Amino acid sequence: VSLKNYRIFRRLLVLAILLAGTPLKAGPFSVEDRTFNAFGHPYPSVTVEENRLFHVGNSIFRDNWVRAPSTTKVRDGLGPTFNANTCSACHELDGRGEGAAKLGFPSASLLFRIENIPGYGGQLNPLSIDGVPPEVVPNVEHALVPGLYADGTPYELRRPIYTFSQWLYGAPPATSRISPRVGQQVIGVGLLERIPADEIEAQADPDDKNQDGISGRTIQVLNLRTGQIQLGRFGWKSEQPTVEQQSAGALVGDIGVTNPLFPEENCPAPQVECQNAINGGAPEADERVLSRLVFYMTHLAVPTRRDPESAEFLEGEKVFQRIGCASCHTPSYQIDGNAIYPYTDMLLHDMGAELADRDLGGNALPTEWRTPPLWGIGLIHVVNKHTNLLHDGRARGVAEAVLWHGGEGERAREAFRSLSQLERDRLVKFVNSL
Amino acid sequence: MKWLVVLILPLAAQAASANTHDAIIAYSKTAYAKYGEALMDAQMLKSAIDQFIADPTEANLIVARSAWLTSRASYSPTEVYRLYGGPIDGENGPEGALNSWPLDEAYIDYVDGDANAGFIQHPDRLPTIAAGPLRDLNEKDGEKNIATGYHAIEFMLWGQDLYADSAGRRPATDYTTAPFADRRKAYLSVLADMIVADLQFVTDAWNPQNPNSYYQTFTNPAREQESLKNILTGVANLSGFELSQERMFTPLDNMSQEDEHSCFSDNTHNDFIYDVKGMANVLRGGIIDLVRETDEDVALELEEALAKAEKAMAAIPVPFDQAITENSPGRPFVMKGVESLEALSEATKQAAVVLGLEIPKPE
Repeated sequence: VSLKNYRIFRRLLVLAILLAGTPLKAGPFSVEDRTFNAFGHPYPSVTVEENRLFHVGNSIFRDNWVRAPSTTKVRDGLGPTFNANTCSACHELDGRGEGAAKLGFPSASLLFRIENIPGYGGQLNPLSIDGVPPEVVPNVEHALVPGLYADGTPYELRRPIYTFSQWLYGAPPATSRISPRVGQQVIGVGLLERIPADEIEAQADPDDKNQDGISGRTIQVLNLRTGQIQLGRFGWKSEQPTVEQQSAGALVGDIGVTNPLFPEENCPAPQVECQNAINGGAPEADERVLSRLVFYMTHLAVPTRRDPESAEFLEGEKVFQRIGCASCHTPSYQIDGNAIYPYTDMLLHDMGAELADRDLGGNALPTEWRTPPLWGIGLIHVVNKHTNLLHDGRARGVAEAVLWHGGEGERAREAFRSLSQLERDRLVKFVNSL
Repeated sequence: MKWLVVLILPLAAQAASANTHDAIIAYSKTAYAKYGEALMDAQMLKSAIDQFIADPTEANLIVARSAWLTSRASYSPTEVYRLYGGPIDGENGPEGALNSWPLDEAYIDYVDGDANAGFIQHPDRLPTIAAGPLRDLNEKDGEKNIATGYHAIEFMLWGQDLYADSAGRRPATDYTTAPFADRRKAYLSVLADMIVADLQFVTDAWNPQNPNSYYQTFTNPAREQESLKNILTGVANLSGFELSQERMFTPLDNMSQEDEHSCFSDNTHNDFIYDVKGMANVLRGGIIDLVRETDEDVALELEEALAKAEKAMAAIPVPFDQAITENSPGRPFVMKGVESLEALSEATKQAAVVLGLEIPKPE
């Protein structure tokens, strides 16, 4: 054996070991990373050129916007009023915000959509650039709601209570509605966008003709880019049709950065200081910047499911199917001949009065919520150091999220409450492995 | 006999444990030395700033600027010790306070188009200019108001670079007759104190004499594979991500004159050169030798990729802000730099495979 031959042999061996340790199930859209960066990868199938564009978008997503005027012209235009000065403040490491976990002045990841409060626009902005006053001071408190599983095991849910002070342009009238929203993990949104609309619509059963108690429906929303009405897919209530529109809406609404889809600053009358503030160009994020951001978002890979052939996974999956979770959390679709596993039907469902609130963007009812995808949720605690779920982060983990289900989800929730401890644990473990 | 050992232990990285340990020791001692140099130059910068504040003349401003450039040249080579959660950017690491970017100019002081901007000129926004309040502002929840570190000092020494043919031209009178001159002095002085303190923290962490330092953890033989992985991760991600993508391709794509890290001083090209110098310190300081023991070809590829990157950095036209603008003849040179660093990252990952390691990608 010559040294040269040995080297080739050893390289092959190293390759074989690496391959053996990497099951070839990741496919072109998913990654095996289980670390804090599990949500931050491009599709493994991207080219060198695509990888570069992905990183430009990453820079736009991660780095802070600064006040105008600045010599860093690409990145100026923060505010005048805002919730955060980066995308990553609310989607840290492309993950999920902690929402209402923090008491007092809320974490940046929690924002408030509003309806019928003249002078504030569509969303409250408690932060602002210097010289422009912030709109309001929100405050978070918690109430604990006790409950019992059927086997007598007690649990306690955490219900956030929101109060507001220092309304700068007048207190809200009685008809107003304030809806908290947390930033979700942004993995796989490019895949959700590619699920054919007819496959989503085929799952809808608005009149519950099959009488299974589940009556998901779709809504149609305006695509600002094309001027067409099309299927709503993104946002907590399917109010946005595309990743681009969702991202552009967040740019202007959350960071105060105008862009081709939303060219107007969020400075409704009578916010004079806001209207008179120096802006960072018209628009502040141009077509190229928006396109890079969208490229980034739509090429973010999803983590593979953890060990889907294990006995544990299969046991949990049985419970998931049996108690009816899969009625809305549709496990799988095909994209380009590859299976993806988002566990959502992308439909709006009545989730009961407890969670009901309002969103101006679309025409969903207060009780309706779009089934959120479940992929990656078991890694949120690794990426974001918390396990908070639902639209304002009130649920501390999967079990509490299930226990908050009402409306069409009530039957599945009651089935969950009636499970044995063993089966509850199996279900939670299963969901956390998706 | 050697032949037998090689056959028995197919993963040669394990066979070469003594050499791995030596390479890790060499790396750690170099880290200590390089942070020591950065600290010393930061202290020199602090002295030059003190002198300027005591006597704010144009001449002393030039001396302070020159001290900043020197301090940058010794800080940049330490960037290779980033990106794996070591002392500089681990849980309590000061990287964000030292080197954050982009700086929020209008948050700090007057800017072109807003003569009245910034907390310098609005004492109500920041009544006390001191390290504590500035640290709080720098990474407040939901807001990263970048207002500390090298680039903040750079802004206070040069001002905005509004010119094609020079760096920023902040006049010394900003520190004498201009309104709020005293607050500018106070801010500049605190900024210099802060980088000295932060570099002291990192230098202490790498001190081999300190029995409780990170150095001891990092060089612990039980942690050998992890430390080796960290070393290669720093090189692979600094070249393949931070430098090539974040700092070179992104401005190339944005085509915006000041979308560069050392924008006020027009010193970005040196950041590249000295960052690669830091990578060379690591790779030629024992890593390439270690790889050569198990795979001469891969070691050679790594050496060649490093040499190409060094050459490509030196060829990037100065100033960088003019090289990235639309239709600039400098763009192909910057692109070559991007490609050379991507190749260096790939060669480093290949070396990691040879050593039986897998390199995690950066955030």
